[in-house]
Amino acid sequence: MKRTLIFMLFLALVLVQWIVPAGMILQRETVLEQGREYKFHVVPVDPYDAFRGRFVQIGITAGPVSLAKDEEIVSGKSGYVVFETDPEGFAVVKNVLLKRPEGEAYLKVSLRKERNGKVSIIWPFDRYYMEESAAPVAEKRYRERTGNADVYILARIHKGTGVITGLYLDGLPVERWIATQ
Amino acid sequence: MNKNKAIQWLYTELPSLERAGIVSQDTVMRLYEYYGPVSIRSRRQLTKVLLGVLGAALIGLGVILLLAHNWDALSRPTKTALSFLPLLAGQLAAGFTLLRRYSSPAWREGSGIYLALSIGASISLISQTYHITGDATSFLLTWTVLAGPLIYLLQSFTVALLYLAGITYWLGLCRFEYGPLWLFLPLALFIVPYVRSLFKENPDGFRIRLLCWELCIILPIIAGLLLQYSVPGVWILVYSGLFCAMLLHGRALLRDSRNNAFYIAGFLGLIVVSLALTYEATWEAVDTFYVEGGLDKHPWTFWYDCGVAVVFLGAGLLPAARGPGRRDDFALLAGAMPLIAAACLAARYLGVPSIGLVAVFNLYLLVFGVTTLLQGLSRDKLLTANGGMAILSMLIIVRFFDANISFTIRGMLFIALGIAFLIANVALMRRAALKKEVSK
Repeated sequence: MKRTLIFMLFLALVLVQWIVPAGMILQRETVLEQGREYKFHVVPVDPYDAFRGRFVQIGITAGPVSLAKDEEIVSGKSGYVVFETDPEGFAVVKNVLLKRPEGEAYLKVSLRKERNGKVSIIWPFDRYYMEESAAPVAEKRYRERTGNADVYILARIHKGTGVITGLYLDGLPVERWIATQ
Repeated sequence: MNKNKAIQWLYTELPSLERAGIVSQDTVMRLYEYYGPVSIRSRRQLTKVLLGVLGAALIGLGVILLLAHNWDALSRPTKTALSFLPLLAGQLAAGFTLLRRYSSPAWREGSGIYLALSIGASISLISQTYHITGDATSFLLTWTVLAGPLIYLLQSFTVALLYLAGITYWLGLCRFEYGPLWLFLPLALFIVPYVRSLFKENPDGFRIRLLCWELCIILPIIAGLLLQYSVPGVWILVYSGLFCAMLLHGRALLRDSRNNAFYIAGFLGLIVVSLALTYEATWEAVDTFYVEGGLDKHPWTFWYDCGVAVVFLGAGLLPAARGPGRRDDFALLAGAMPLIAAACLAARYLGVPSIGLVAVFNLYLLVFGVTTLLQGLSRDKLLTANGGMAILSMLIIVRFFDANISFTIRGMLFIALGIAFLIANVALMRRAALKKEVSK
C-alpha cells in the first residue's frame, strides 16, 4: 500500500519534471512563431561556463535611460521596454515602463537604480551558444579585427519574452562568418 | 564505540556468559528482545553504494558534457528532443528502483543522484538551445525544487547532500541578484523531516555524521547570507548565537564528543568569534558599518535583521536555559557568550569605549579557558582539557602578536599570567596529593 503511494507520487513528480522543461520550450517556440523581430547592436566576450558549453557573451550597447514616468524604483524590480527602430533598422529604447504596456511589443527586463535618477537595463540577452570549438574562434577573429566588425543580434520579442535567433557579423550569421575569415 | 557495534559485541558475548552461568537463559532472551536485531552493514555493501553513486554521477556528468558541446550539425528540434534523453533515462532508472530494487541502497542512491543531475542537465540543454540568459537563480531554484522530492521518494542520502548545497548556493545567488529571499525558509524546512528521520534511525550512523559536517559548513554561510547588514554589528549576535547553539545542542544530542561535528565546529566558531571581539578594530567597525550599506536599503531590512538576530540568539540561549541537571560550568560559560556579546554591543551603541569591551572579552576567554581546562581535568576528559588549553594558547598567541599593546605592558601581562599558571599548577598538585592521602 505504502509502496503504491510512493510510486504514484513518483509518477506525479515525473510529470512535473517533464512539464517544466516542456513549458520552457513551448514559451520560446511561441515567441519564435509569433514574435516581432528586432536588431540589436552588441559586443561579444567569451567566458567559460562548464555547465552550458561554450557561448559568446554579448552585451547590448545601450547606456542608462530615464523612466517614462517619474517613478521611484528599487534595484531588481522588473520593467518593460518598448522599442522603436532607427533609420538603419536597429532597435532603440523608446520607453521604459513599470507597468505592462498594452497594444505594443515589449520586453520584460530587470532594472538597476543608478545615482542620477536613471536606470540601467539588465538585458535578458547576454549569451549566444555556439559549438564548443567555434565560440573562441569567433571571439579571436573578432578581436583581430580590433572590434570594428559590425556585430548585431536578431531577436524575436513576444509578450515580454525575447529569443535570440542569430548572431551576425558583417551581415553574416556567425557560424558562416567564421568560415569566411 | 557506536551503539550498533556495542550491541553486536554484546550478542557475541552472550552465549559464553550464559555458559558461565553469569546470566540466565531468560535474561539472554530478554536482552535480545530489548535490543532487537542489529543491522550489520558490511564493508562490501558500503563499497557497493559508493561505487553505485560514483558510477551514476560520472555517467550523468559525462552526458552533460557531451551534449554541452552543442553540435552544430544537429537541428533545433533534434537538440530539444535530445535534452529530454538524460531526464528520461534517470526517471526510468528511478522507477525501476522503486518497483524492483527498493531494498538496495546502491540502487536508490545511484538512480537518485543520476536523476537529480539529469534534471539540471535537461534544463541547461534547453537554455543552450534557445540561448536563454544565464539567470542562475531561477535555474538553480527550478533544479532543487524538481530534485528535492527524490530525497523522500527514493530515501536518497546523496540527493539530500546535494540539495543542501544547492539551496545554500541559491541563497548566495539570491543575495546578489535580488531574488526572493523568503523562499529559503520553505526550502530549508523541506529537508528537516528527513534529517530528523535519519537521526532517529541511528544517531551514531555514518550518514548523520556526514550530514552534520555538511551542516557545520553551510550553516555559518547561510547565517551570513540571510543578513541584510542594516543593523550595525548584527553579525556579532548572529554568529555568537549560532556557534553557541551548535556547541550546546551538539553536546546534548550526540554523546560521543570525538566525532561530534556540531560540538567541534561550534566550539571552534565560538572561540574564533570571541577572539575577534578581543580586537578594538572589531568594535570600532561597528560604528562605521552602518554607512557602508547605505544605498538601496529598505526600512524593513532593519527589522528583518533584528528578527534574524533574535532567532539565532534564541537558538543559542535555548539549550543553555534548559534545566540545571548536573552543574556544568563549561556549558554555562559557553551559553553566556551570546549574552555577553549582546550586552557589549548594546554598551557600544551607548558609546562605551572599545578598550573596555576588549577587556571584557579577554577576561571572558581567560575564564572560559581556565574553567574548561579544570573541568576536563576533574572529570578526566582529555578532549575537554585540551579544549581549555587550546582556548588559552590561542588567546596568548593573539595577544603576543597584538601590535596595539606596548611591549612593556605585554611583557608584564605575560609574566603575571605565567605566575598565575604556576600557582594554579602548584595548587592543583597539592590538592591531588591531599586527595591521595585522604583516600589512603
